[in-house]
Amino acid sequence: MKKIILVFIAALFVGCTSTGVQVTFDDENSNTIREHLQYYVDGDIDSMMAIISDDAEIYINSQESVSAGDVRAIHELEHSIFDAISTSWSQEEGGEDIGAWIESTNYPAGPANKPASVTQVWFTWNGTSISTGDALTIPVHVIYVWNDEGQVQTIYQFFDSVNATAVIEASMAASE
Amino acid sequence: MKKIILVFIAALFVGCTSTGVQVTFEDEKSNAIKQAYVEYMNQNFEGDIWSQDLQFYGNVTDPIGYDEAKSLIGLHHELYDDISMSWGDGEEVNEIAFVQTINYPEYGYVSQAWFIWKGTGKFSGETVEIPCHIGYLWGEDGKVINEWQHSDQSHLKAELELSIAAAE
Repeated sequence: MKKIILVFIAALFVGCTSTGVQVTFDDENSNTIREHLQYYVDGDIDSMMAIISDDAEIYINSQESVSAGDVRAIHELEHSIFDAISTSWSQEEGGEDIGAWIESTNYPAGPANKPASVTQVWFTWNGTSISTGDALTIPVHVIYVWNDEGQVQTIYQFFDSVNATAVIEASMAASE
Repeated sequence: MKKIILVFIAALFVGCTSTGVQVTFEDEKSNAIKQAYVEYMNQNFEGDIWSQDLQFYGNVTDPIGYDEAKSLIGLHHELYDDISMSWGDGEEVNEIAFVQTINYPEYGYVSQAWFIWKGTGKFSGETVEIPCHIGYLWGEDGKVINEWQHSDQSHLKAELELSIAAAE
């Protein structure tokens, strides 16, 4: 009988931790990011930035980081240029729009990495230029890396800036 | 004793399938993605891993098909020399890309890759390094049926414009 119990104990650990990586969707970090995105959509940038560490490093399509202060200014600018900002995501065309796909992953320490706790997000950013009326949609991927204090220490953003740059430049020219 | 065994059985299922999601790294699909990157850099598109029914979302919400996607990817080599891909610090970690494959029970297998794409523009002479993320949804036949790319295309657009100007 002891052997049977040992087999179950082994199965428990081998089965659950083949890679040791855990993915969750409705956990505290995922829900915090869900709230963070809603604050952004609502234009409440102060509340949005509350979870970002003051010394966070934020990589926007680049290997050079910008500061939390820089990102705050970018988000405020976006809300001054665009109306009807929203995020959208559905698993299939015409499917339920859940705003964003959000999942959190805990990576255990490996031979060449420390343990990491990240939350990843995929969504389509939508907005309409206030001055030109141009609608803009941009698929976006963001990775948030959490620190031990429960704040976001690093952010990586991946998106195509081509259409955004064109619409923003046209909007600013029209406002002059 | 039966109760103890039942507790372990329950723990086994609850513990392993709290979300039911499994993440793997050096599995067949992750390795196929890495090999595809090697073939991409070698400009070899024969015997690839993509379905003919591929829906390719290159930073847009409206997909293009297999042939268009292949032409678009081929354009990289028309515009850039010395194309390479890397992930890591170059010392302790020096990979072509960080690739993981996730099995979502109600969706299927999705491979995800992150890397730095590097190339030197044939027309600008400028060397650029672009952080990239790509997601791949695998079909039941073991081919990629959906691909989602997330990366900045501003350098590619500028290089394309220079190539068009040079041709005029």
